[in-house]
Amino acid sequence: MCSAKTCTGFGRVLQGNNGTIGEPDGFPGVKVQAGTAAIAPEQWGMSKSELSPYLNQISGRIEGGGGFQGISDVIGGKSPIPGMNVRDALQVMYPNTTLIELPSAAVDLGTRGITLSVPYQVPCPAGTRPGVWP
Amino acid sequence: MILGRLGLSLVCAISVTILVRGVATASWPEVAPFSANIYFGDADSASATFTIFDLRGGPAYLLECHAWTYQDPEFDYSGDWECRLRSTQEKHAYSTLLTDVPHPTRDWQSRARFLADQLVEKCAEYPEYARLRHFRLRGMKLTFLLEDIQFRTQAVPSLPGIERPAFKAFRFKLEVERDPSATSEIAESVPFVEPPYLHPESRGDYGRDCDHVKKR
Repeated sequence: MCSAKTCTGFGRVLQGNNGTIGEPDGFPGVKVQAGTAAIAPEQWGMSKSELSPYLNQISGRIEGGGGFQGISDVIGGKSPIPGMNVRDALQVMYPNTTLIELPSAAVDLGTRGITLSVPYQVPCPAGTRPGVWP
Repeated sequence: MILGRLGLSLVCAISVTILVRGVATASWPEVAPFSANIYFGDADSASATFTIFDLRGGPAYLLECHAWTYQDPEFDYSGDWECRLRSTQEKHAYSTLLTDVPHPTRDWQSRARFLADQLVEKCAEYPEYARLRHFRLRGMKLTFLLEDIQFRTQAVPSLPGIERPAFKAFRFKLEVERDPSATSEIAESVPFVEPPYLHPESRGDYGRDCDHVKKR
């Protein structure tokens, strides 16, 4: 039985803060793990509570190398646009991309092609659509 | 002569310091003190919003406190009880002024997020990261105190078979005071380190090392 689908598109792949690894993250009971990603849940068409059961079943490959296995946090903190929360600000600055922040990444990877594996119950996030790269 | 110049320099330095501190303090609205005491019998739905007024009676800050179940597109609540402070008079870049991290990358990077595992057993009395927490900023001091806490366990949706400590019920006491000696834009850092997890790499192990108070 195939329980996952592929979503392809573009991601804005941000360098995260490796100081958060091991800390309790944005999903209750979950600690930030190396090799996982932080996201903006609103891009995934589900509430945080709805998305929670699937965190460990989401993975991604990033064009040019690298990737992540599992979601373990929510992007937040200080915004590049005062008065607008950071997730909204990043979506304004990088439209039509999936926001992905990698706590383990050594550098900011910019905008890259991404291929995600997500459970069927989870919609493809903003910036991607179902299917493989043509 | 040299002593005279030194004295003058010292006076100038003190004057500049006082001026800078005075300007910094004066730039924040002076808040009207108040206190609150609320008991939440159902921690999952615990929710409270407090308006902090300035001395002219206008709203100066909004303190919003919720459990992680609360959905807010502006802020990612992730604590068993978590408060967010924002100004109603200015646009700022911080998602909460209660952070003491100059460049936070997460909404949860503040001591205003209470996790049940920070309050169990001996951890409950750990300074500034447990039941009693103080926040000094912008000419005011906020004091948060949790009392009458009842605990339970709660399943972790992404970790089948794993349960974590959570609140069943609790009382939240809030005090807002003026504190002209608090001049920072965001909360001052405290001289203590958060008690670390005993096994940070282990999913499902929420024990913390609270045996010794660790200073920065």
